[in-house]
Amino acid sequence: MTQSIDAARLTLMLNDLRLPAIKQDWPDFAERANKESWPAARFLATLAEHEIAERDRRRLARHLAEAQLLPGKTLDSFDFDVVPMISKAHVMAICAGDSWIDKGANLILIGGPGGGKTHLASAIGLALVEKRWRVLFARTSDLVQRLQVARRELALEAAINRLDRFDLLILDDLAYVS
Amino acid sequence: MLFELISARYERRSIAITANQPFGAWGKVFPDPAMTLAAVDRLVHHATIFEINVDSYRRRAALDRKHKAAGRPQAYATIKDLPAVSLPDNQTEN
Repeated sequence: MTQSIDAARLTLMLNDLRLPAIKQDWPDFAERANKESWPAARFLATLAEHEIAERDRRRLARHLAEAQLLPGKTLDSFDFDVVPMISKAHVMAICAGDSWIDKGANLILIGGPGGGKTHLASAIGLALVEKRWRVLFARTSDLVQRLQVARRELALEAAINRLDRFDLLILDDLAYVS
Repeated sequence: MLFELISARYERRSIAITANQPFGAWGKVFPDPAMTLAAVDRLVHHATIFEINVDSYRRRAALDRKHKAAGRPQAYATIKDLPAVSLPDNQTEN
């Protein structure tokens, strides 16, 4: 009792509606719905949820890629025992982001080499991206170099404005800027 | 350059900075003392500051390996095992 539809046309319509996940996966859901006799409303709701979940996943993947965080530097791999003066609870509060990033407040990690500042900064960045904040991690010297190029091209203001899309800019290694 | 960036983001967008040196040594980073002062001022005005003054964990790991290799027991205390003295990490300046 297949009620045929024009699948090609449906694909085009879903494309126009910008529903790529539904476009790609509706046949599987439809088959399952038919097999399990889902009510029509359940089928529709399942498709909508699928699109939203995929949209979240794509956004997270995009924001993770643009953040340029250091691979493997997570909070789980950070050894809090080595730095007893850093309270894990405080770091976790920072990782929520709510109390400071929306106010444009800053975070400063100071200490000699090898204390794990860079690891901690990148890990906090990762946690914040997972909480949907937009983050950019950069070596301070690299970023300054980029801004210097922009200034030479009389585009410093535009370059700084482009960084505005990031809720948090992580500048690693201030000391190495000359 | 950094100064322009810090000024542009001040009280609007967050910055996180890692630095090997305390604020007093940041003079090298900015063109002149007045700019250094203004930049540090803006950075710390609303900031959480973590001070990580610990023996380099790489050195510590190397020491641990050495001690283990020598077959020494873990349970002994030296002055280096005492918690480092530092400002509390939860100070927030507002």
